[in-house]
Amino acid sequence: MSRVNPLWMWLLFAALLLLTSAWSLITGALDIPTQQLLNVIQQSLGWTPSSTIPIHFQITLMEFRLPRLLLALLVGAALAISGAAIQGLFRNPLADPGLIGVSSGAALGAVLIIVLGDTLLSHWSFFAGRWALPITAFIFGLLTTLIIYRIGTRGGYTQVSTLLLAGIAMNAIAGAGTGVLTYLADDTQLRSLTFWSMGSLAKASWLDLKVVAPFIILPIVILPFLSNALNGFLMGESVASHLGFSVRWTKRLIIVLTSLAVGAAVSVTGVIGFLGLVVPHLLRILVGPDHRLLLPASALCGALLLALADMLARTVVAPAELPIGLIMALIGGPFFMSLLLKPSFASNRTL
Amino acid sequence: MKKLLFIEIFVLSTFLYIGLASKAQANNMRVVSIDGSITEIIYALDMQSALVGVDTTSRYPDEAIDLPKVGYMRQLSAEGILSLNPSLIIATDEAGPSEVLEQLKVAGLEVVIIDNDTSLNGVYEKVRTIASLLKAEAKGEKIIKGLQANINQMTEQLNEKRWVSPPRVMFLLAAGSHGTMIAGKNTQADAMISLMGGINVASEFNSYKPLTPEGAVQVLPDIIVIADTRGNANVLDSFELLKYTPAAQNNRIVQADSMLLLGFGPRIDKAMSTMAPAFYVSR
Repeated sequence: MSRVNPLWMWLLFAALLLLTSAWSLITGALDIPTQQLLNVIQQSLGWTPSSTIPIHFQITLMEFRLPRLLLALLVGAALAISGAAIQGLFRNPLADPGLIGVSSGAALGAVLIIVLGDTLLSHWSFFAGRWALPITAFIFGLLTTLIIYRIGTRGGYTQVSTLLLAGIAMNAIAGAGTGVLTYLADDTQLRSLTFWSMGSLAKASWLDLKVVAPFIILPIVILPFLSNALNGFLMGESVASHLGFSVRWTKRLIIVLTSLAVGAAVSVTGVIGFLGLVVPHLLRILVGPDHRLLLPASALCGALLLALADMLARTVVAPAELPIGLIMALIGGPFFMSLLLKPSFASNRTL
Repeated sequence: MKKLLFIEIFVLSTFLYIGLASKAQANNMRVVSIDGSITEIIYALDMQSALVGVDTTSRYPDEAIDLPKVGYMRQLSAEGILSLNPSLIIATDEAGPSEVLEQLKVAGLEVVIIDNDTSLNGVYEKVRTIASLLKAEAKGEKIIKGLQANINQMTEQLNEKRWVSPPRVMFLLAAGSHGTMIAGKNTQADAMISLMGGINVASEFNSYKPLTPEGAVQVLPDIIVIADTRGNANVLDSFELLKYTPAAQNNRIVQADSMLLLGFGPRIDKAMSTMAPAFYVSR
């Protein structure tokens, strides 16, 4: 299979991204007439609309759909680029951001607030208000990663295999904590945490967006600069260091940046699986293993896919909503399997 | 620019609000109900023509199942609800996420949150509030009077056949494939037990916990109430040991639909009368 010319690929992705964004803004449970759509666009550009806009059209577009679309783009990009970077770092196609503990840690933090927020942790819940859950999830995600990293690091040198095993152990411990809390939970709490573990963008608002955007944009901008080092890693750590990359710092930076991005994403949307695993694989087939292309392409493609999935989540069972994690897995699973069945897959899996 | 937008939103929402208010007066309401008991009350008030959407806990009466579903009450979607073009949203304090309810208010909708108080007064208050929201106060008072009369009569009968000490009641929730759970403190089931003058055998924990047969025999319940979510759970067959409890030996076991027994809605008198026979000392 010949690889796609990069220029064409960028143009294609950019066009698809624009199309999807526009499409997702004009579709939804509420039917907005084209004339009103144009009016809202005119108004938000500072022009006077040709007729008055009913408030619910205005609000739906500007306060529901737009922040939600932007959040989907950010979170999708964050999960996919982190997945690509982590797979490169571990030189393991099965790796995803969950491996460094950030998702399971964040889940533990979220469940703590859902179950104990009204009792043991009521002071904190009261103090932090609606931010209690995202902040706790974020901190627990980072803490778990930190512990895994500490265990995996001996004398300033991080051993990837130890890191992997420490990740598995910490995931088990965090999972057990979540299990204990699940046992303690009552009916409504149980429903809440089930839904949290399936992800949703329904709560997206401009405020959420402002709070998480820095944590996500920073890694998306910086990670591509580590592409050359990651390419060096593909040939082994000693080769990478002979090529002049600081192996230690590359590892640290990648772990810190991905856990920031994934932690922030998970804390506002809940768990959205599969994206971080599937997107880099798909793109390795399209553009090859070169991280200079792979990382930015993953970000774009992740944003695109999550925006599409969220559009489905919003419309398939309207006026209700499907959890987006469910849609990702439903589409991602069979799609990934079809990739595996292709004869070209084995020969292209150069990782 | 942004300021202008806000002013415009404010002005428009004021207009819309006035528009909605006058609409409501014309009894042209479009209501979304986000709780099973609220939906039941709206049907009892004979105002179902105003209902344009319900949540997934609204499963009674049968016609309510066919209404557009806005999802589970703690997992609502602002745009989904908005697409039904409602004028009024009635929910309990359990509805969520709070951000979505906030968004609906921003969009100019009237969102009324009713306390989910599990007591008789709570039920009356719920009926009264919803009746006044739907401009059906007279019908609401009639329902409350009827409930009070039925319940007074029943309490008298129960008092005539009063137990020497309050009966020990085990309240089970047969939740289909989720297994059988026993109701602890701070549950609707616990409130139902006290309404009937009984004592909950499982008062050492909160909420519902999986039933262990040995534990059930150990606490020796005088009465067993089974709330069934699916309609035909056979709890006694799957928990043989329950047959050795005083409740089973004296045939003091009631089984009924969970929506009826735990709904705390306009059928609360019927729920109590369903359980009453098991609570009489002599029959």
